[in-house]
Amino acid sequence: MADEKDLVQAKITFDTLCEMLDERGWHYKKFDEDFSIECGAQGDDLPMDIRMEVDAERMLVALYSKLPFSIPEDKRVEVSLAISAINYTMVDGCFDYNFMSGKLLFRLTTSFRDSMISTAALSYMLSVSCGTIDEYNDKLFMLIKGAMSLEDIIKAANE
Amino acid sequence: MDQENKAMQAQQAYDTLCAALDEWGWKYKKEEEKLIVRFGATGNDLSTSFVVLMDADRQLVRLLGFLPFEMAEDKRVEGSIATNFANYKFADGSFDYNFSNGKIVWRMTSSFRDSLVGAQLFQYMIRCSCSTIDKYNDQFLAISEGKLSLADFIEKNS
Repeated sequence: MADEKDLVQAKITFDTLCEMLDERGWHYKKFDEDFSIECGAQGDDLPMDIRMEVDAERMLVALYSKLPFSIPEDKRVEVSLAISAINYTMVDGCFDYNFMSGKLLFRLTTSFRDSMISTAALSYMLSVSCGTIDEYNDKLFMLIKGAMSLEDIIKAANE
Repeated sequence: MDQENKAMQAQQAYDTLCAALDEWGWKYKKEEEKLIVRFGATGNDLSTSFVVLMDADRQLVRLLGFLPFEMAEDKRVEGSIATNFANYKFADGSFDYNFSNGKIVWRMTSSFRDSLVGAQLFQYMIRCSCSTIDKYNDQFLAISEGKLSLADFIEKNS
């Protein structure tokens, strides 16, 4: 359970997040009660739903984006290998993959524990996430449709 | 942000990290020119070597923990599924898995871009990393050695 000091810091961080979004002209839904926002972005191919949460208990800002498709059962192993290949090349953020349900999401976090997080840091989170998701969401979709091979994905990730 | 400011901010974060490690009495090796520290930690079962580096260009604290084994060749697919399954549960950090050589690396990052980062942030990163690795490293090794099935791993961690 977050103590009062943590809640104050979370609120400051949430206000900084909203300030960043406003400065950059993003349209978003604000949920003050749980320090979260939801927004969307359109990449080259697929739309991206973004959720950013300020977690007062863990002292984390977390960005999540669920990919808009599930992985069919016959593609689950291949996608697991693709996700491993993609994640291994990443510096920040990762694709989280649930083999049992076929659900896929992108996650990127930064800690504000004992720290003052800037609008620049939060803007970085959003832009890196959008760039990374946009890079791979269509490739993963093409993999499950058979339009792209696992080897193609591995090659793309290593480029 | 220009390169000089980036370098200065990275140095500041590095100095805060080293001061924090000194305060806690951690033994570590410093590679100041690269803004890297290296240290080891042993949990309940296995030891892990860690690298923490301040990436001035990206303005990130990057913590990496190298698990001391590779997944056996005949367990490489299981290794991918198991590390991904574990990652899905995490709020912070992830296991990166190299299918080609079976290596598993724990990765956790935090941004210091235009930000002030405190000692407790590093303490959190190191503690969280150590406890998460300690929870999973022996399970991954057991999968590799055929002592734990993937199905049992999934059930255990569901």
